[in-house]
Amino acid sequence: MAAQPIISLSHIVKEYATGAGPVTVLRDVSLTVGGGEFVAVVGPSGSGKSTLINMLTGIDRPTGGDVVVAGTRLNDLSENQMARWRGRTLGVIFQFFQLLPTLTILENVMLPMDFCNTYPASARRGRARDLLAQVGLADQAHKLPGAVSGGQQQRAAIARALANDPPLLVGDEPTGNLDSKTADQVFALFADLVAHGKTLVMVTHDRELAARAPRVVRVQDGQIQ
Amino acid sequence: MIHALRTLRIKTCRDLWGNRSRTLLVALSVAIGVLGVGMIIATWDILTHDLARRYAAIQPAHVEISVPQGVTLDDLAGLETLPGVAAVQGRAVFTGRGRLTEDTAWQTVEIIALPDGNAQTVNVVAPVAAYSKPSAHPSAAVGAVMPTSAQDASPNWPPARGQVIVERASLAELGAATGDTLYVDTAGGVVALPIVGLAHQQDDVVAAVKGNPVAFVSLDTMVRLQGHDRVNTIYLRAEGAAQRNDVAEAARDRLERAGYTVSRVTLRDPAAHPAQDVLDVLLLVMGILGALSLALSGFLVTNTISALVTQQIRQIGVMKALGADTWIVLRAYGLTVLAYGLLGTLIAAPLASRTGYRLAAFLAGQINLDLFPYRLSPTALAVMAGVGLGVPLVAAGKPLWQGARITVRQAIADYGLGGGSGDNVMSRVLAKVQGLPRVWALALRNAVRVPDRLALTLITLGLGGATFIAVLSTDSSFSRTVDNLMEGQYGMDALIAFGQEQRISRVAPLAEAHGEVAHAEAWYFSQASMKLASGQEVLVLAQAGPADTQFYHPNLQAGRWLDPADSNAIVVNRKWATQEGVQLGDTVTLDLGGDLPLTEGVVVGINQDLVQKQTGVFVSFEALDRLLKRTDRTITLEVAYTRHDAEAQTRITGEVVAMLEAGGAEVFSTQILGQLKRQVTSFYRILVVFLLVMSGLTALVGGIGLMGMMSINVLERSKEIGVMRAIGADARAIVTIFWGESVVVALLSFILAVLLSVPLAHLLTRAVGMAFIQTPLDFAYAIAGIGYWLALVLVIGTAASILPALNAAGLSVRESLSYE
Repeated sequence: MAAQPIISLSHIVKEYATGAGPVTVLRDVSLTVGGGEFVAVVGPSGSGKSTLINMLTGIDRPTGGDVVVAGTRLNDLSENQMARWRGRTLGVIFQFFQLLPTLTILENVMLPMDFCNTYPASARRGRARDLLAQVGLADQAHKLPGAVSGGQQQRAAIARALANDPPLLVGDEPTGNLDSKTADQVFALFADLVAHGKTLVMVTHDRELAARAPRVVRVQDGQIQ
Repeated sequence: MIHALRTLRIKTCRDLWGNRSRTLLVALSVAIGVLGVGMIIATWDILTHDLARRYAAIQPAHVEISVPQGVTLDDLAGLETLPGVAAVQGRAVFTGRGRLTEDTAWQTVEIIALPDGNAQTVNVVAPVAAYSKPSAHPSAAVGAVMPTSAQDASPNWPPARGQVIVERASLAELGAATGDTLYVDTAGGVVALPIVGLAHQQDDVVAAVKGNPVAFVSLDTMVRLQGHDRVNTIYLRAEGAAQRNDVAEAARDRLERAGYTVSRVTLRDPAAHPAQDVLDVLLLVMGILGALSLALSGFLVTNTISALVTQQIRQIGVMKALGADTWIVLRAYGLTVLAYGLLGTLIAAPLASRTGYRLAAFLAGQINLDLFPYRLSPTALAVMAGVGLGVPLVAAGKPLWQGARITVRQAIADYGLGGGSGDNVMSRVLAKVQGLPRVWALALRNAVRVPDRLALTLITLGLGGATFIAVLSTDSSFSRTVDNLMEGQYGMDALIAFGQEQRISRVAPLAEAHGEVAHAEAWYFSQASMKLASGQEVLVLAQAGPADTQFYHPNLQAGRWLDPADSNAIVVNRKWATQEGVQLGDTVTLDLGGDLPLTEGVVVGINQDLVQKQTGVFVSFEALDRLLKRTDRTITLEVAYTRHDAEAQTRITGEVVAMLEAGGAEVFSTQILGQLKRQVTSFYRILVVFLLVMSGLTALVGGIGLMGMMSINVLERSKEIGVMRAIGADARAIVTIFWGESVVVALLSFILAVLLSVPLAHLLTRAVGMAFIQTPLDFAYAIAGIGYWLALVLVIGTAASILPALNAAGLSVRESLSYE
């Protein structure tokens, strides 16, 4: 366990207003994740695990409680501040890869650097190439996402998540749309990233993969078990 | 199945209500299309209907007879007994000069004396006060235009002895107001006549086109002005159109037996308004624009509905998984599409009716016509219903059919971001373009992401731009043509008419004594009647000038110009050659009026000249002198100056007039070249204004089409926006991407517009030329129009993206990512 917590959720409550009245999705959840940890979040559908992930990425805001990630209290940030903070601090990996279809693989990886202006413009292309080489996609750099396989798209999405060299990577079912062999490769990549100092929090339904993570957080009925 | 459809109807209603912003967007897209078509149809319908009813209400004549020396009222009344004659109306029509104060310049005024203003039966002139009373229904107003009793009339109608009533469109030409005094100079000397009211005359073109204002007086006043009370223009209405020729012949015969010389008999079509020529062009253009607008509406609606169906594919898959067959899906979504169409039509119909009426009122004002009170146009409503309900269904046909036939597996598969895969030829080509900033690369490639949608938007906006540039090109072509024809043809700067004949050898040197007068020539002008070989008589302006004229340069279309040795040669205007089939070698008879003998001429040339509604004919000055038995005499002088701008023309003309009058030559009136040009172009300006309004509307439809496309793109790419926000894009970056995309589409449409504008401008220029001057215009492409449209299309592109882009930037990341 690393000494400094990178994620600190304290007494998080999340309610949604519905036609049938308020629905509580997270009930007084507290969670601390240290720097360099590899955490798998598991739980049945509707248990609140994706909402939990959304809290720490700033994609959603809590009804109550505090969210502090990488030293920043997210409750106080505006949407624009949140976007820029997220771009620099977090790498988000989605289940369906979500690469922009009109940009090449290389350009998709450069995009976060453009948005957050984290590297000099002249250095972005080289960095993106390096990241693609790191995930084994150097030869696919100039293809559009539609021209490569699902596994390659997800590796490209991981390279994109690493673009601004964030300390924290968050995946929402990142292997959920991949076959088991490709999922293994992606998991190995995650493990390698953690070994090199990244913190990784990943929601998964895959029990086998979850079991291979050093730390597993179980969510059920809006609470951490 | 019935239960399934009932459930689907409930789903349709809830979908419409639950996605209110999308419902409104689609309905507005339909509404814009319906608005464009509906407005044009409403304008056309109301204008043609009201024009016909208003004109019919003045009881237009079938026959017009000119008797220069005038007919007594008793002899006029005798014509009523002729078989087939339904009504007879006489007028004394003469010209004088008029001005409002001693300081203002004289201008030619046409004065009309009516025997009894309250008992008109043909070509009724109406007092404005009574005329402007609104009628509850069009049919109620027909026949009520002219008051039948004195109580209905304006208090000052008919004008009493010593008063004048001005035709309402002439008031501005005179620069007068009711209550002013008009000083009229005719055969009886200068007489001061107070302007006591306005009248509305519909049997002639408006004053601006005619070239001089029109005023009405009583016969008593005419006795004072002219010294007699006879009428020189007789209007006859036949009991039916079939009797028109018989009535004309019988009336001519009766008058000639009574000892009168009939100079001209003109057969009229009571259904053809005097401005029918220009209206025919307007209606033709409206028809073209209506069809164009219909096509644009179709594209707009197709775009919107296609996108909508694409969005619904997942739900279609779910329904099919639950047992819905293709037919049920088609019925269900057909109902949705109809609901959008109905909503759009309900939004557009009242707006189109109102704006259509306003546009019709504007055009009617240009030709001195009053519309009947506002009402709906049934034709426009029917077309709008057809377009509003039919076009969305047709537009939705292909995507609905494809959607309904999709397999469940295909439908519910989630391919990720949506909004088009972006994997098409254009995207692949553009992906090779390196070096662009990512945000702009995204904007550029997103623009071509859904090629069908892009194509329809480009066509819509491109056609709007092409129409805009083509209209400006038509305008510049017309100006060039008029300049070429008039400045090339008329070398003079001003025309000076004397009160009585002057010696040329005296007045020409007097004028040329002015330091800024380059040259002066004597010219002869006279309204005349020309009888053609076919027997038809037409009104012409007979002109004669020196054989070695420096001023007039004929634009000969066939034959040759006049020769001093010609004794009976005549050059006719191309208009008569085209319309009446006059050919070289034909013999025509020219009646110069008064006691002058008829003169026969052989057509030796066909000339094009736009002045005086293209009625000019030319004879040699020498032949005219022989006919008039005179030498070294003229009533008019043309002068050319060393400076040709309007200010100089006006100033020098005033100075020359002062010099001539100081020399004893009393000047009756003057006209500068700019006034002649205005007279030629005034009708045409109506068309240009109309075309510019229409092209503006086409651009608006294109702009809204672009906004619709951008809004759909934002909806479809909500998830993508969420992803970009998740990887660090702030609101500014999102706005820039969508704004950039909109500007890219606008610029692509600009290229298309420029390409399309060339053939369209040629077509429009040719059509307008043939309609107005019976010859293609000298084509002048409006290069400046490209610049104007570029500026406009960038504004449209920016305006069209503002709301969708801000909407995109305002989406929360969670909402974006959860969007389906």
